[in-house]
Amino acid sequence: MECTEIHIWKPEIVLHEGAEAIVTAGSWLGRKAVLKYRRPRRYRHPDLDRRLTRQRMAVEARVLSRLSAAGFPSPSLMLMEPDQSTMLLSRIEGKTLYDVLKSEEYSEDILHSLGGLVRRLHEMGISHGDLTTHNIMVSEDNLHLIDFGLSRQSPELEHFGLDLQVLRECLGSSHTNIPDAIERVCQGYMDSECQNSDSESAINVIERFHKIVGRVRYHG
Amino acid sequence: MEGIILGIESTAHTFSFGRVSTSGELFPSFSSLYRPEEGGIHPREAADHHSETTSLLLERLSSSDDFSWDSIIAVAFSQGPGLGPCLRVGASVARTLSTRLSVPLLGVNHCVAHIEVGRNQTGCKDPVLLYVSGGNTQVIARADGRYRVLGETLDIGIGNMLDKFARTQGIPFPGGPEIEKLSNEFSEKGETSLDDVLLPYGVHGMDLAFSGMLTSAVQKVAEGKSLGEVCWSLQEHSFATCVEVAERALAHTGKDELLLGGGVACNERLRNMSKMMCEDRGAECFWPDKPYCIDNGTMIAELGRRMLECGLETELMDSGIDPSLRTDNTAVVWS
Repeated sequence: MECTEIHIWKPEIVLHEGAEAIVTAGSWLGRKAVLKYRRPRRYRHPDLDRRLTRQRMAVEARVLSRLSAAGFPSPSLMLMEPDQSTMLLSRIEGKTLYDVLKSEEYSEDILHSLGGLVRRLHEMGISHGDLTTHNIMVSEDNLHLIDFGLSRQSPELEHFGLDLQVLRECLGSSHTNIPDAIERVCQGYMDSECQNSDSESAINVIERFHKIVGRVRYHG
Repeated sequence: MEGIILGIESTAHTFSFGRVSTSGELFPSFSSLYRPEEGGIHPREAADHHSETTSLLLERLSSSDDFSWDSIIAVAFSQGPGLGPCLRVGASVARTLSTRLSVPLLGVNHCVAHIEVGRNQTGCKDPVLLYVSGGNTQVIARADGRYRVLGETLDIGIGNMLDKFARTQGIPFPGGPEIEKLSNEFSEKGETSLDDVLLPYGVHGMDLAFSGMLTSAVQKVAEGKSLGEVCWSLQEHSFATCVEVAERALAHTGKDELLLGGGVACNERLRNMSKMMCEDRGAECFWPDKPYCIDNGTMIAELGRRMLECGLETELMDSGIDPSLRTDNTAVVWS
């Protein structure tokens, strides 16, 4: 990997080859870390590819800094090399929610807790943009969100609703063993509303989410 | 039992009869396309077109050298999703033929038929399907006995978006091929830059959206950008969103085959982009021949064949159409 300039980075294993980045686990100055490398997408025109990569790295860096400062469970940004399209992030030990839900060994209220975590993110005025079960980590029963490349700061109501829609689609297609999964998430989302938050109210977001579901083709 | 399964497609613009043998050999379809004089599709006018062309198409079908009514062992039809009045014509013809020939009736899910004809033609086993047509834009994969929708358009189908753009520029339906031609003419002129024709890029996880892109593209032409340049930019942006969500679906499911389907899958640029994406991540990319990308009766026959093998016949009482039939509504019991 083209990351020789990141000093004393020792790669160990490729964790995930996503559609946006290759994620490699390793250590940096003795600390456990992951390297996120956004390789150019040859299928995209170079102008579009550069624009998207720049945008997504910039927003991810800004959002992760805000989340770290607020103590939100997410990786912290250790180093960034924009010219090489790499970011070095702290490593979250554990499994993806995708694997945890497939293993069927999880606590009953995990989806309720997830709803609460998404609500907490939204109350900070941040939407995630890619809320699939691969972007949610479970570490000793604690949930963490990762991959903020499609997130938005001060988004519209629509983007909060879309977070739930993306999650609904993912749960409904990949985790069919839990038929009421999205309902549990929404309940957790509603129950976690902070009374003095100045962001969109939970009920407004849920209402918008239902509108979005009604808008897609042949909704259930 | 050896024989031929007849398939009838009538979900939208296309009215089509196709055949497949019990061993899985595909025969070309006989089709007629409804082209509105102006504006978009009017469901009742399209249905009238289908009714009026029924005799002609059946005559062409039955007078082809290798056809005999005696060989037909089942009649399959698109039960949904699609436009109600159009679906009703196909269903009525299917019921009539099945009763007249005393053979089973098979109500078919149109979206699933796109997948099955693609699997038959390309030999891929367990693909993620990027289904790009006028009305539909979905990424689909098989899990737990169904084809599941992993992501889909949040507003309009990509083909619908291209047709709408074409219509604003006076290009008649279907707009896609003309947009592809104009786009090629522009990009063949040499070095291209997207900087002056940037459009919104609507990827939301594995979902996607096109209406912002459409509005912006229409504006670019109004601002004086050449039609060719905007067509090119529109293709670059809209196809990149499709290929990106397809790659997201491959990464998410861990599958390593991508299958294209739907009318927009005829586009060479989209095919190339999909191929490059797959090559770069060690996956394989497949697409059926163009006549089997667009809506066609043969694909309906092919899914009918798979259902017949599993004894999934449709009783007359259950043969009503379902305009909003979802892809994951259909239990997939065949291999």
